[in-house]
Amino acid sequence: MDTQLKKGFLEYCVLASVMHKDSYGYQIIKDVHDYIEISESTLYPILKRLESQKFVVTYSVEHNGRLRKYYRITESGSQYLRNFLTSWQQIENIYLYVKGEIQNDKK
Amino acid sequence: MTKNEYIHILKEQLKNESYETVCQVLDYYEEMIDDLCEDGLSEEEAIQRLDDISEVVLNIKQEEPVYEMKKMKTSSQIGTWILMIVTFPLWGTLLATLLAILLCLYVVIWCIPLMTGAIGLSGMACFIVGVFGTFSLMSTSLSLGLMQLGIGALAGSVGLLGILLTKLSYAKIKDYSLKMTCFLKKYSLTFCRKVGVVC
Repeated sequence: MDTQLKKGFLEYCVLASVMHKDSYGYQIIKDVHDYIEISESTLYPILKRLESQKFVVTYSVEHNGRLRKYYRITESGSQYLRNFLTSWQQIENIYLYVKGEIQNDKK
Repeated sequence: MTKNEYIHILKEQLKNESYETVCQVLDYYEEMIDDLCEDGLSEEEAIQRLDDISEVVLNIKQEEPVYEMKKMKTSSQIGTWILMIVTFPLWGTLLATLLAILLCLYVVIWCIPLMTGAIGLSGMACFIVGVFGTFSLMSTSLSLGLMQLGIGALAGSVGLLGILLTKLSYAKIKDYSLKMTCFLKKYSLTFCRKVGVVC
């Protein structure tokens, strides 16, 4: 998949993984990995970006004598995720347009 | 490569980044390695699973840091040190008080299992002495022997209760102590990093 496109999708996937339950870095990777390729080093900037855009907030929890950082989705984060679903029709139209143009070019 | 080596090299590679960025990145990777190890991997396997340090650094540099803090200039760093030394009588005493309070807190909470433990041990000791000593006492006076047996049994039950309470309170207090140490470590490190004493 194209890097730029993947970057956008990764943001949505990460947000979706914290939609119903607060999660932490390693768990997010495990949850998202089945759907899109993600590594520890790609997740970090995504989490930072989501945090700076206030789509997620963080807090630390003590776990086995160390602190683990949890991510919680905000209202604007949920809204951003919902907007993605509503804009899907537009994405589909773009896909059909590109597909049509390619098929026309073949003829 | 061990976790400490990985973190150390990563820290070296990030020396041009802001304090905040370095701290956040190091915390993130430390947590990631710990989680991988907890998932059954050895430290070396966990590090092999992670991307190369060069790629990690590249990914960080491509992104805009969230809370960009300008790197301290040498002159302002010297200023900070002078200010810290001059104001030491003020913050030094406050820090010492805070540390003393925290130490007291630790001592107080650990007194609970210590106390219940002492009750448990003394109760059990009374029970053993009471029960075994009762036979020799019974030969001289039956009523006295029976009374000692009863008191010994009572002490034994109090001892058992003490042991049970120690077991329960020990787990809880150990948990509280760990939590307190973790938060103390986190906030003191954050404070030191903000001041610029450590990175």
